[in-house]
Amino acid sequence: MRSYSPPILACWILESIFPVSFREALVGDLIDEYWLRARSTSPRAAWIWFWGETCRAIPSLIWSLLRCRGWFTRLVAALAVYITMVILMFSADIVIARYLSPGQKAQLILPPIIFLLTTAAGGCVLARIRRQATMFLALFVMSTNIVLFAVRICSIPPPWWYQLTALIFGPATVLIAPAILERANSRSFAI
Amino acid sequence: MKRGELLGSLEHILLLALMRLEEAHGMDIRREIEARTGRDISIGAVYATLERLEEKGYVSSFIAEATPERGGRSKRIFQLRAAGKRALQVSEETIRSMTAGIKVRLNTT
Repeated sequence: MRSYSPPILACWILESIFPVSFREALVGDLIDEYWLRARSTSPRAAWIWFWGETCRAIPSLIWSLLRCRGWFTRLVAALAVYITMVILMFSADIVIARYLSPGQKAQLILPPIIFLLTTAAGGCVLARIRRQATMFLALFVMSTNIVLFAVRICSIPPPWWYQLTALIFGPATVLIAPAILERANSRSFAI
Repeated sequence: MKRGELLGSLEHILLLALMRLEEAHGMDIRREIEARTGRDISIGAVYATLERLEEKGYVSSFIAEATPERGGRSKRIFQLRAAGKRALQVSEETIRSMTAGIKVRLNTT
């Protein structure tokens, strides 16, 4: 018989983005329900259900952030960090354009790397100021990139992996980087 | 509950479910709502709303023991508080006074 278990990645995403106050209970409840469904239906159906619940939980989190007290402060904090990130990225772009010739491979590879590093740093800084504001920052990153790709600001169409980095990995880094940092910190404390 | 402040529809349903169950965790509440209303609410929405209700002082919670089935994660059990009961009474009274005299019209389509 094949062994099966709840999707680890989905658990990790939920534990990374949900507030500390209820992440453990929420993921625990989902795992409980996963086992019930895996026994009553099939592990595959339960696995699909788990991922469905993970995707459905994210809009609820955004909505709850907008409704809870202090949402405006979080929004302002996220906006301030986002503006700083944009300034840093533009400065880096200027430096790259100045010192690297257009044909060089580094000019193609460096901007997405800088973008990801900036989003990770932005996420970590914001998490220290207001943990729950990171969702707003991820939304800013995603929405501005959607607008930029929609209006086609570049004369030459960017490669597909640029779009993937900007739309998926960028917002994901904002949310995941603080969680990784938190775990690394707690491990170093434990040692 | 402040004067004029009403419960949101999900808040209202959650408090009623909690009143029925007396003590329950998120998934129990979700199942109760689904069984009675047919509404399939995401667990994220249930917890986010419960968190808000706790912030308002309408519900309280305590942590139950962790089990290996849940991957070592503990359960959070919710209970309705007196303020939550009062909020439900106020909501019921508001709905009753607003629907008084128009029940016949509501039943005719």
